[in-house]
Amino acid sequence: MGMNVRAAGISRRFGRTEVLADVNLSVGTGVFGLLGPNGAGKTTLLRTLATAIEPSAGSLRLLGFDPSDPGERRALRRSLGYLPQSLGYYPNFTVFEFVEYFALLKEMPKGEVGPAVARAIDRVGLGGRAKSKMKTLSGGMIRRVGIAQAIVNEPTLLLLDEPTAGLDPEQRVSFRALVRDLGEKGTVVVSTHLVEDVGAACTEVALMDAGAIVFRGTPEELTRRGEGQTVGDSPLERGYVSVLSGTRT
Amino acid sequence: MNVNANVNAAVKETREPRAFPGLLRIETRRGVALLLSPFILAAAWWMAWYGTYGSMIEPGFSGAYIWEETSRVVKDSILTTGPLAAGIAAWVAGRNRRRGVGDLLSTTALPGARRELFTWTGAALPFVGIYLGLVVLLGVPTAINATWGTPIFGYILVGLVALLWDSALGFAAGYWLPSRFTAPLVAVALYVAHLLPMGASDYDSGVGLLSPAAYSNMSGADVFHEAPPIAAQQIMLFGGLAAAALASVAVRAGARRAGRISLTVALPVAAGGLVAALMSGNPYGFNAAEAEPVPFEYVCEGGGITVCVHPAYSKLLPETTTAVNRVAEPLVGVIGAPTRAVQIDHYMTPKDFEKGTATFGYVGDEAKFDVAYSLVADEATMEELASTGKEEGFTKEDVRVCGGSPPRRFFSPSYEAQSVVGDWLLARSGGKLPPRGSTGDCPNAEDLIEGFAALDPAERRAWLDENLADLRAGRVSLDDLP
Repeated sequence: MGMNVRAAGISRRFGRTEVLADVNLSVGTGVFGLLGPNGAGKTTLLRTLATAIEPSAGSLRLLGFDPSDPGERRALRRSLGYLPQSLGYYPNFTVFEFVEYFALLKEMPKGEVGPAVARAIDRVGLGGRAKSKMKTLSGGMIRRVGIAQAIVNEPTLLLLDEPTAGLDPEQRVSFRALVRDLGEKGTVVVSTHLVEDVGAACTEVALMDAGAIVFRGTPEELTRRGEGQTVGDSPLERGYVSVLSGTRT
Repeated sequence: MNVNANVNAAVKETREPRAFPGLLRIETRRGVALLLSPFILAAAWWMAWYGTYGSMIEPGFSGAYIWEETSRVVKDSILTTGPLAAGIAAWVAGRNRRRGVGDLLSTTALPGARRELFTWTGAALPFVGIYLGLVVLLGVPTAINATWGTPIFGYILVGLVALLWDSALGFAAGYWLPSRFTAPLVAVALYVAHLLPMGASDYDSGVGLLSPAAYSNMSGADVFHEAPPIAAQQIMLFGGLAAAALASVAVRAGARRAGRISLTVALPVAAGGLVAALMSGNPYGFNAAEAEPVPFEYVCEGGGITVCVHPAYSKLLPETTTAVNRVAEPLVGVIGAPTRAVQIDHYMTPKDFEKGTATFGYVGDEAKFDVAYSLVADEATMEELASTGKEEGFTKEDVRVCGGSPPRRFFSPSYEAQSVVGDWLLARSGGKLPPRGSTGDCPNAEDLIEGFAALDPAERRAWLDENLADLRAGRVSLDDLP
């Protein structure tokens, strides 16, 4: 299986603080969950994979491209989808315009932009609000617009940071189905606090703590790590707590 | 195809040009500039139109459409639109950081510098539209009504380049200092920056050229003289600064090499324009001694006396002829009285006057005010007497004896006598007398005018026949009046 993400020994420092420490990660097609407590480095790892920031050390290849090369980075970004943890938006843009704007910035072929935008908006269930201005939408709807802009170019590498924050249970179920569908053709990396999202949508999961990956396996394997653990409301949560406890002791 | 071949093919693929129209459409449609543009255009048009052609409040208003005037007014609209363009561009430039979209944008394929350039274009384009709209709104009526001349495209170009400079500067300011205060501050600062050089006291220096609307009140180029050449130094200065401002954004947005190359070219161009402007003097300022006269044929109409105007004012000839002849009526047939009145440039010096001919600057009914005094004061003769010293006691004075009166150079002591007769001509034709002073040795002008008006018409005519030539030459004093 081809690896769409190949990170070897990447680290990232902000001043004196090392947020990512020697992360090694290879991810192929499928939905990959990234779990971890606040400050574990999930968002920094995702921003690095999204080429928003460069690693301080280590090597990275994404979809076969070297993101440190400007030409390759530009080509890579055409096949990239990214939903940041905190999604900014232009309040006067309509939903359609916002998604179209990012489709154009991703340099989609002109003829494909219109249908792709309409399709992406439909997939997040906002077809009826395509002409609404962003400032009229609820927080959950804005999150869904963010997902739409991330998937508009049918990305081969999709990076979603807390995608289900603000979504109601029904929307969350729809979202998981969408992510599973996208994971059929490309790589989806989902960073989340919500372990049930991982259990329902991910084929593989990594658990981060203090800037390092401390567990990597399937959701079932994580669940098994929680056997005998009493803290946690679900088997997956018990596995999560168990791994973290083990790491910290 | 192996992996490297796929990568190379993807890298070589260029799609950016296709993105341009779509991005520009969204940027323009959703930008605040487009929303405000009808109001800005209306305000700019109202100020330009009523300050030039639409208002009788304007003393220089003639009722004639003059291409020089239209071209200059279009350029000077930059005073209204420029700071607004800068403020809006600053607001748009800071939005990505204000809205927290920067992280997301930084992961898109289109290079950041080009993205910012599109964003600026979207902010600037409505203002270019406003400017061109103003060209149309003022140019069409001028094209329909003007009887002489052509547009001065140099003026229009200077205004357009300055508008782009304002917008680019605002954008750079907003990009480098993304705060909600940047936009209003940059707009106010640019407004002041445009006004300050206009107040430069030395009209012969090029300091005024640092403002695109410099010397707008001087009307240096008029229908009598060649328009100044295109202010190339202004275009260099504003164009260079605009390019430098955008290049600074490009450098920060990631296009370091292209941005630095642009800066390397733009800054010397701007510096060259600045130096050239400061050293070149003021091409817009009027200098009658240097301005090249424009060849033209007067358009004339007969009456008691023949009235001639510049062809640019030919539509106002009948009205002017009526007004001039209403004033000149008591002098028709008087020995030594002018038989011809011609329009002259407001800024003409006495050497430009023709002996024995009355002159006036403003046309239409306004011509009465000039011609009333010109009928009784032959400035060409008086200038000759004063300059050659042929007549003792003649000294040139720029002060206005007893206040008020025509806005030209007069000579004492003859002036007061000429003023009384001129006032009488003006008053009897229905013209409002200019305000008078009441200090020093100023005689009671009203009494003298009333006394002259109360004379028996035959007696007054006899006095005029005998004395008008001397009065016009400045040889009659108040004591000689009947």
